[in-house]
Amino acid sequence: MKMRVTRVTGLMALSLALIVTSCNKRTVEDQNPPTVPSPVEVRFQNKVGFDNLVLNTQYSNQFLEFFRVTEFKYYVSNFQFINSNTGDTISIPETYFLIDEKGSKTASFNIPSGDYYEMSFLVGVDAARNESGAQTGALDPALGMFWDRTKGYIMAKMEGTSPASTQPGNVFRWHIGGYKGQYSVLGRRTFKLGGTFNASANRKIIINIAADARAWFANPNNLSIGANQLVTEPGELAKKFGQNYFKMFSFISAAYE
Amino acid sequence: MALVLTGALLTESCRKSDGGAPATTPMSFTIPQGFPATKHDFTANPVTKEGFELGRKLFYDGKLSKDGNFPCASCHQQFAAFATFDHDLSHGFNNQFTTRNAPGLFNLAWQSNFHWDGGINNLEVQPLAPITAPNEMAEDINAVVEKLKQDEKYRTMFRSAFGTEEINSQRMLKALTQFMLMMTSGNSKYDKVKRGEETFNIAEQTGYEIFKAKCASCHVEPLFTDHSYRNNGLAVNSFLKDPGRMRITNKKEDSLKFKVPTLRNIYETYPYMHDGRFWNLSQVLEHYSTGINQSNTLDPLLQNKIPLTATDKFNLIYFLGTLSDTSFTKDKRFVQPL
Repeated sequence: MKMRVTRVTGLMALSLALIVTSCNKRTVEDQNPPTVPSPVEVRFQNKVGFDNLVLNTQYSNQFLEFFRVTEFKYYVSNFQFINSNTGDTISIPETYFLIDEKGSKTASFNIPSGDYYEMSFLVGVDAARNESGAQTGALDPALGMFWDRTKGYIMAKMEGTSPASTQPGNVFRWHIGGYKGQYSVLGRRTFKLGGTFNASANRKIIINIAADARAWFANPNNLSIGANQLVTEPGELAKKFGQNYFKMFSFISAAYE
Repeated sequence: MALVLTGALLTESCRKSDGGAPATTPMSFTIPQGFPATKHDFTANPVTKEGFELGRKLFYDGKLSKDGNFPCASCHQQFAAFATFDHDLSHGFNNQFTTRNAPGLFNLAWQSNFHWDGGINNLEVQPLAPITAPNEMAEDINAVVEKLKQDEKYRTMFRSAFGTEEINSQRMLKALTQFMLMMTSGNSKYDKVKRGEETFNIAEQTGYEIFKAKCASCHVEPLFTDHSYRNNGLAVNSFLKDPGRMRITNKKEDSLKFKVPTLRNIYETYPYMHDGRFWNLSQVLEHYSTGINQSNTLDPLLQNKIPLTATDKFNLIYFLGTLSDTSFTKDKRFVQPL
């Protein structure tokens, strides 16, 4: 009986502890010296090679297949910055963004004031968030980027049409995901900012990142439209696409607004 | 003595500074005596009276389906322990069948994966599967949210449960989860016997001994499942051709494996197996004693079938009857709201 009582007390103590921690909003701002939230805007520019991506416009890929893109979306999340003075990696909480050629192509958030020379983000949605139940905002399943079964989030999506596809309407449909085990498509991309930038409350840092749709087709894996018309679940093929589009990002510029 | 989780008390502590947000009433979650700790984390979405009542309304509301005819409750009926009464496969949108037998809904807080193949990794996102499946509720999640937004009653209830009138998929799913989590079934005759309140008759007691010797390695007490996936030797249904867990893991060794179901409320949840092929327990026991179909992934425990005499079967069926929990199937908290 004593054991039981101890368990109950333990639980209550745990709950109390949770109450305390949940209300005491500890963030990176608690560091010394005091920092203030400072705005950053990461703008993604979707490209096809050197051209800006325009939906429903014809391009050709490395296999000389013509294609038009009708959907181009991907998740970027878990932004981190490296502080120039302390060398600390600062993780920015709750940074989840769905970059959508048809919608928002910017990731806006605050970072603690200070000097930074490097930024990184996770390409995709971290494994934990794939298993944490109902989400909202950029992770709302109503956005059509959540598989309705065990597979978690569609991390990146490219759809379009191509004469190389024998599907109805000549469509190709690439829904890429997979968050665990050998077929995880998650990976972190790091970018030097080309100098040190001082984040402060009254001045926004703009960082421009390019995302080249052509990267999906080749390097390290050759993935033609004709041979890969539909990919709609995690697995070996999705992993190959993941390895390719992981490389589609490149740093363009950073500046103060 | 029951352990009461105090996690639900967390809700209010942080909301004080929220100005006009209405207060919520925490609901305590009771773990029946002898049950293990839950697998569900109650801290992330604490159960409140308001959230539970909203979840109950949603569970019984046809608005969650395309044509209004298929609420969750159309396949999950309380008198059948929230399975579909007397149906091998359930009925969905536009005169279609589901592809599997609807399982009973209870003791979900002790599970971490859902569906016959374990394909759902979190209870909160489970409702997305039936809501959007074209042969079940056949609806788009955005359309559901829009329909709820048009309903003043819902705006009020979302405000009561979550502080503001905002209606989105996350809030809807969290409310449904709160409702389903509270469905605990742990007051059957078996439980009363375990608590020393009642005694088995001779047939039940003999059946219980056979159960412990021959069934309990998979149907582990007190939840009567070990939550594993096994191939129990059912011949493949040539129409459904259901690969089971392999569909989720893409691993050959998971071919034809399905979740070991709980045996609680088994009298209420017939027919049995993932496709509802057996209409009574005699057929089930006949399968285990004489009908096992050999295949590569057949469970090692069933390689030699489970020898059972006619008397064994008789007594087992009596014992299984003690797992019915009428206080759950008649619990007024879970009935359709007025």
